[in-house]
Amino acid sequence: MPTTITEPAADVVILGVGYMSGVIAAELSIPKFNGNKPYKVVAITKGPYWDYVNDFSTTKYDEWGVGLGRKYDSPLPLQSATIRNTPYQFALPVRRYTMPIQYHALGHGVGGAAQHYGGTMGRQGPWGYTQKSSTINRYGQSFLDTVNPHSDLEDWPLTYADYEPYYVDWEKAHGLCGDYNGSATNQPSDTGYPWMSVNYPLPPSPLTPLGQSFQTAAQALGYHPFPHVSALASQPYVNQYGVPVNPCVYDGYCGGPCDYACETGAKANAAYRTIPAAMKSGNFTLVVNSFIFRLDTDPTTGLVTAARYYDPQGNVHIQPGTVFFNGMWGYNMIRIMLLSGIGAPYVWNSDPTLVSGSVGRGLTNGYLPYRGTNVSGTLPNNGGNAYPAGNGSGGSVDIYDLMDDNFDHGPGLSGLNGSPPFIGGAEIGAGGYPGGGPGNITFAGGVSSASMGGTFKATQKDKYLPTKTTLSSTPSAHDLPTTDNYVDLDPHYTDIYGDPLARLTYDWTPNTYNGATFLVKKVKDIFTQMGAQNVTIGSTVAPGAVHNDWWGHHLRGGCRIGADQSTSVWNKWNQCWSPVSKPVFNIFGAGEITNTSGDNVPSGTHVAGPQSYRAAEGIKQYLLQMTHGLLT
Amino acid sequence: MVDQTRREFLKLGLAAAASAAMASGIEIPMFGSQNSSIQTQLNNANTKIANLNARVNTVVGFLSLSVAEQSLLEKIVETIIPTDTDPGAKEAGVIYFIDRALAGDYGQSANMFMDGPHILPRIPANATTPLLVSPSLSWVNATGGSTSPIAYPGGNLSTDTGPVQGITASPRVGSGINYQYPLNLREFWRVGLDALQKYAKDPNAPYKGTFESLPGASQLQLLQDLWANKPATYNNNFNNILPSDFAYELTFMTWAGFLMDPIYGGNQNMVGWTYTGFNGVNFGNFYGEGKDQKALMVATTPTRLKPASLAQYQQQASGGA
Amino acid sequence: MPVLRIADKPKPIPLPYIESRIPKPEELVILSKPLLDATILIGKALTNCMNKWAFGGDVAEVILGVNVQPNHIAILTSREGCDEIARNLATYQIEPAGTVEREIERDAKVDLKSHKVRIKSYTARFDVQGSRLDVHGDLQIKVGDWDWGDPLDFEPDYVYVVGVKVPIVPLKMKSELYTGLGWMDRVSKIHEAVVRSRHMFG
Repeated sequence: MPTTITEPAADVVILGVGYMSGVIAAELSIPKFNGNKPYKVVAITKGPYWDYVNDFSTTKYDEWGVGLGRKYDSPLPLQSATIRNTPYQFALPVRRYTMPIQYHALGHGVGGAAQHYGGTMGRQGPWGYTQKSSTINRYGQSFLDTVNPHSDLEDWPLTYADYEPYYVDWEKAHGLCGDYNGSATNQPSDTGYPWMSVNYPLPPSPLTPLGQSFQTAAQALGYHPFPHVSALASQPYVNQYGVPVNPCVYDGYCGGPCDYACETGAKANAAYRTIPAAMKSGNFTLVVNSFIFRLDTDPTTGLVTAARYYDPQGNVHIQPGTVFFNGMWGYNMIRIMLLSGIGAPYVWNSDPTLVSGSVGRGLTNGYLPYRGTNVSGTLPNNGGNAYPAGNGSGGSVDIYDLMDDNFDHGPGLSGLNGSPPFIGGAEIGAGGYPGGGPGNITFAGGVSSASMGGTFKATQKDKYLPTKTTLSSTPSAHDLPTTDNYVDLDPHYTDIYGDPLARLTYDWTPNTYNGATFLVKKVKDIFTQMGAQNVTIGSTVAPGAVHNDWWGHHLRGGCRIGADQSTSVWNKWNQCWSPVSKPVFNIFGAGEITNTSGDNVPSGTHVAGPQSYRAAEGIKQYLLQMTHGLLT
Repeated sequence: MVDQTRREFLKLGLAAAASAAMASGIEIPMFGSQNSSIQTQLNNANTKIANLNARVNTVVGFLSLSVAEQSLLEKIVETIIPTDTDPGAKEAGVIYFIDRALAGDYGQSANMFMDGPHILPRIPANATTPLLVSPSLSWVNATGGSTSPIAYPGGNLSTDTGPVQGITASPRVGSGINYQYPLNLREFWRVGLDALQKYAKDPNAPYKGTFESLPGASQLQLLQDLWANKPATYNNNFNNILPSDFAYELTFMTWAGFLMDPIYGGNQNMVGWTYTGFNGVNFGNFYGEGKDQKALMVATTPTRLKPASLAQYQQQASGGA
Repeated sequence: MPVLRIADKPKPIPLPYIESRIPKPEELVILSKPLLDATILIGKALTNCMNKWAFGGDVAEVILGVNVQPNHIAILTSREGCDEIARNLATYQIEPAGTVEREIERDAKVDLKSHKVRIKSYTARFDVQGSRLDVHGDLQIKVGDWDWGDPLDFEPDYVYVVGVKVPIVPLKMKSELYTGLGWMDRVSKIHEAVVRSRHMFG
């Protein structure tokens, strides 16, 4: 017979124990970091605690179990999500994980999705924080209207310069690898871009031959290549919390669409960077295998009073707290607030001037359309084994020159290159090897009628021993927020506990495709400069041609921070200020889903990182307030 | 004494430290209690794989496929990955991989979301009749919405940003969102294999004989027909599942049976890995080749490594070499 | 697997539930903040040191994941290195350099017998923002009645401590030393850290 148990009250209650929650846990539990306070911090996760030796070291080398079975990830019978492209459609549930990964499995347990990602990082450039005003100032309002119909694009509440010191904290905490080669004076006008006040704490992984080739070609064409920024430790490391970190062993079971857990802890993750320090403090309690299903609120003030969760036996626990941090991933951050009646839910209308609310508003996808416009070629005798490959994100090189507003997007653009107008661009790079297993090579693009018979079989012979390296790039400009892409509660499907699933209404915006049309020509030039043969631009994919691809990877913006209280959920401290009439100000949140907009760094994790440090600072200030309220 | 000490030492998987110790000429005895959690896990793994040891290379016998299904599926997988001058699906034991999967979590759809309502795909994907679906009570409670059924329009609709398709978007074949059947995967295969055989024998279809009896070229063509949804237009409507959905599953699982770790029953003798040049769990020194992973990553020419399987890796890690 | 019964759901559904053991604080390897800050300060101050030097002692082990609890910082170097370090850290020096020989607390255990252990080095002592630093030049060890060992020499490994690259006495040398002293508990701790830094096989 299930019972209800009330837990001792905590100062800080953390929902979910992923990347952002790890920062809050360390910053609020450890007296040396929280102003010498004895705060009690509790964090709750639906999954287990993972020890990378005991749990991964003998069983992770299993493409079938990891890649398709998703044996370390969030089980679909527990909760799924429904998807549709437009608000007119019936949303279907994601019923199974597939390989290739389209519907990316949520993480499960301490560390969350970062237990199984590829470690790609990259700061968002200064332009990324002021996209709306920058675009209007330089190109005009009607340009933006043309580029993004039903636009819901907003500026961030803070600039890159404001976030810069918090980026540094985030990078130190997780041991990010890279090399910023800008000028000694570190000016925003540097060609070394985005500018940094201090270099990454770890050097990059050694470049692969392919990475070297791209770097040389990019330099010859006048671009400024940087080593790809990676969260996979290249050297032994210790972070500011005193946590030692083992370096990567380059076993090749890291990235690729499967994205494996790391058996040495080199893959940065709250479980092996921040949470151990929090646990050591003695002020931190970790609750695992517990599913948060509601936040209780006070009927008068509307403030959050407790988190409610189910333990594995089905008992209900009530965890009271003073301040709460929502560190749940993506749509779950939104969903718990909608289920609990916190913040103004987004209400869609076919007339963009009639939409209202903010929780669920402005959803975008940080990745790119999977089968978008593509350029390919072959580079003879430039590469060793595709496997063992190294790791999921090290060894490659990127250029930022074709990103943001680093080139003129003005009306002359379509005359020059034949692409319709767009804003932003892409971070373009090469050099990483896919690794991950042979299925990654054979199924990576899915199977089709062409995947049968002797002729196809012959194409797979020695596929993992390339004497020629296939180059392929599908660049696209970033996805822009519109009033038609959002998250709400599904009317028909529920989770295992009977609560409505999250419903994602989402389709790619034209900006991604139109940017691709321009960018492929630039990439073709780079490939040609590298000496590639048969460099071919695949057929241009028109807007709306591809749906539901790479869903769930890097959702952004559905629960964003902003400068306008009526269209955002979180203020510049990542503190909830919704609804305008009675803000629920004792809950903070940070994650990719709180990114106001994307740039074309495909992974929004790094961009969300500084927000976790802002939220930590905000929570510390909140706890010190004599009268609690919105921080200014 | 020395040998036993070394054996216990290796049992704890400290090969790296071992080589350092050997290099310095010092034997380092281990204290089991200090590393009991690792020891326990390895002992468990050791016990579990003890039986697998002899069977890493041969897995035979069926748990789930019926006799008729065995005979049919055997020919299907051999069509998808034929034996030529190199081993194919037959030698790899792909059919055993599929059989084990059907008998286990995959067949039980253990990690799938199986709740209704189930909205089946239609041929063609567009549908014109509106869909009326009742909301869940918990959604009504959470949002204050109405309990009346919600109507989803069919056909194509005009909006100010262009036409949109009603009901559901046309999904890519094989995508997770495409599987909307109220069947677990074991049932799906039963239904699919049955429909495929019916199509082969259908007097109105081109083949007019069991799949097994057809010449090779026809077998391949029949499978292509599935991808093109041709059988759906016949009287049996392919047992009410989309032929292309089943074709995806057949093709995908055949290749998985060729390329996944032998511990799952396929890729026997690692023939699939040898064929593709994949090395499994051999990071460069499993057989004493002395290669370093970091060096392999930055090498400009490839190195062919003899593959090692997960079971072999665990066996060696626990000192059973 | 536990089965969950939910109101309004037509049937109970078995849910995958993974056993989980949360580590206790004493099992977690963390370098305390005062020692961490001091290590960084020292590392930066000695960046351009001409002589070979490296962090030793327990701090060097914690930095590489070994579960020990340091209470001070030790550096191993040559005699010349000790003087050079003293010049670079002059403001923190609390005892001038000089040859020091002493018996350490813990005995060696060799052939089932206990032996006293003496160490000798050209030592300088510092207080770096509250953390004690001992710099040992040409450290030598004497077990029982046996001869003094040669001054310890090694090629350092490197660790990035919050972005500052610092040299560390290699764990392999530590392991050999502890074996020689019969301190098998320390050897075992090093091995546990080594296991956690690699997959099972190279």
